[in-house]
Amino acid sequence: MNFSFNRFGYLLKLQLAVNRKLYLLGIASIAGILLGFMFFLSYVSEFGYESQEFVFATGLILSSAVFSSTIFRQFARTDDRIMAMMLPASAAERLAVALLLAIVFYPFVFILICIPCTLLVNYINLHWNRYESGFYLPVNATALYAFLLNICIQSLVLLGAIWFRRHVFVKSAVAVCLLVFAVVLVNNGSARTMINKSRTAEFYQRDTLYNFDSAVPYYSINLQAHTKVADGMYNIGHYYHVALRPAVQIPFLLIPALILVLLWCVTWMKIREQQL
Amino acid sequence: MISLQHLHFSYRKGRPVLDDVSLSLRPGRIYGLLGRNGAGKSSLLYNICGLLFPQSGKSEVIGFDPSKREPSFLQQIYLLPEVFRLPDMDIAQYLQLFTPFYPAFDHSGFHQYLEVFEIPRNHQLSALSHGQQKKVLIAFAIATRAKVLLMDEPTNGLDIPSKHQFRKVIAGSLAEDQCMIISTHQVKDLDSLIDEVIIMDGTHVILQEPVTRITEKLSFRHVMSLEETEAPLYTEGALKGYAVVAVNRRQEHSRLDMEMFFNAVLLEKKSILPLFKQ
Repeated sequence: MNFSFNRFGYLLKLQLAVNRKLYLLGIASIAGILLGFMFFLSYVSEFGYESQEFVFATGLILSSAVFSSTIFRQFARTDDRIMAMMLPASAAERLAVALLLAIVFYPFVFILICIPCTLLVNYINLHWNRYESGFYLPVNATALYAFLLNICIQSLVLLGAIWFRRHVFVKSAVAVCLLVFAVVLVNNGSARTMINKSRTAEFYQRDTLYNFDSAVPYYSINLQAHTKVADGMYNIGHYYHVALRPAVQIPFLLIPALILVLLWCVTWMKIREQQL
Repeated sequence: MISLQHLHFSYRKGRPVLDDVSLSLRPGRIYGLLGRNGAGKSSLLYNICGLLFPQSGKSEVIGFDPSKREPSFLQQIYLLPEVFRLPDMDIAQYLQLFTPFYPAFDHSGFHQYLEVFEIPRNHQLSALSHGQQKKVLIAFAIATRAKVLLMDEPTNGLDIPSKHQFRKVIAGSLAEDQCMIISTHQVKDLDSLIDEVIIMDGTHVILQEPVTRITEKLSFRHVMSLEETEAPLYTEGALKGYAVVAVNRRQEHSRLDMEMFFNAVLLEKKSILPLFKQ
């Protein structure tokens, strides 16, 4: 793999300089949208801690996806494409710049936009509406999950950005939704198959509904047994969370991380294979 | 320097754009790549610089496989495209951002070429006309000191004085280890500039000959009456009499009229091409 840190630096500088107007405009629009949405939430309900957490996580993922879908925009138009492809930089350097911008640089910028917006709305709520709420800082477990999920989604969007030439965001969003849907189906389906294969005859009780939700095969599974009360009505019943022992959880968690590496490899290959 | 062997390329199956194209190009020469619109000139250039990959055949450019597009290869090859869009910045900033990618970039040369082209130094690129932007890009291309310079219709969009400036800059800039291919259908613009002519027609390269050999084999003359010349291969009506391409039997020296030659080759293939196979 051909990689030079010097060229990586030049490429990063070039990407930021060429798109600086777009990025500044984007920052202003995101700040505007966030403020608008936060004021709307505080108007219809209370802009409490959970609402702030929700706005941060969804805002981060959605706006990151929009940003990531523009990273390879120089490959979209033929005239830009020729100039971009003839620039002496390797596919690895281009991918590294894209990843740095999408999963490090942009989330950092988003934090810098979101925190002042949240502060402002909280301040106004406190002084005008006399509503006091906790101030959300993205340092808890939810924020960590949001960042991790963001890395996965942005990796997919980057692949879409190089794969598709037009309507990149829409096509990438559809691809992400399809993939999430497929993962959920495969997870639950494979979990159900595994449980059904290894169950004993006495395991099942009559008039009991069994669910295998939130299943991550070979890692953890939620087993739910709902007892029938009447036709179509079930008690919440028992709920079991079965997971691997902590000592072996990490290796199994690393397997989904390999999917990320695979996505980056495919993106790298697509950049290498680009033709006019 | 550039070796293409039995290159086949098509955008769609069954519709070849380049069919069994073989070329061998040497350093220190300017090649004029001529052909009608849609003859495959741009596709050939794109295959040489790795923007398109051939379906079959072998291509080697300055010792590299172009389809791998390695940075060390891209540093030594520069394509001036027919259509382009420059970023919204001034010339100094453009230089600051793009020249680090070309280690051999000649800054003083670039400014000299800008002077010849009469381009103000610190203008915003977006404020320049398309022709002026093209001249900035031509100056940049030459200043990269790339071993292979590919120019796709470089004179399109240039006014008449600019075409003269273009010829002046190109003629004085080629080093011995550089090779330049200029693709155009405006063949008159290349008069007295090129060393070797490559003509493409119907997916093939039908002729690759040095200018000296062309004028050795053919004579280009203006005559008042067609009776003044013996069996011309090709004639065109001129303001006073006729412009004639004939076999150079008397070993006369004449100046190559590129446009006449191009038209003659395309219209009288059967009588002209065999002359160069002898």
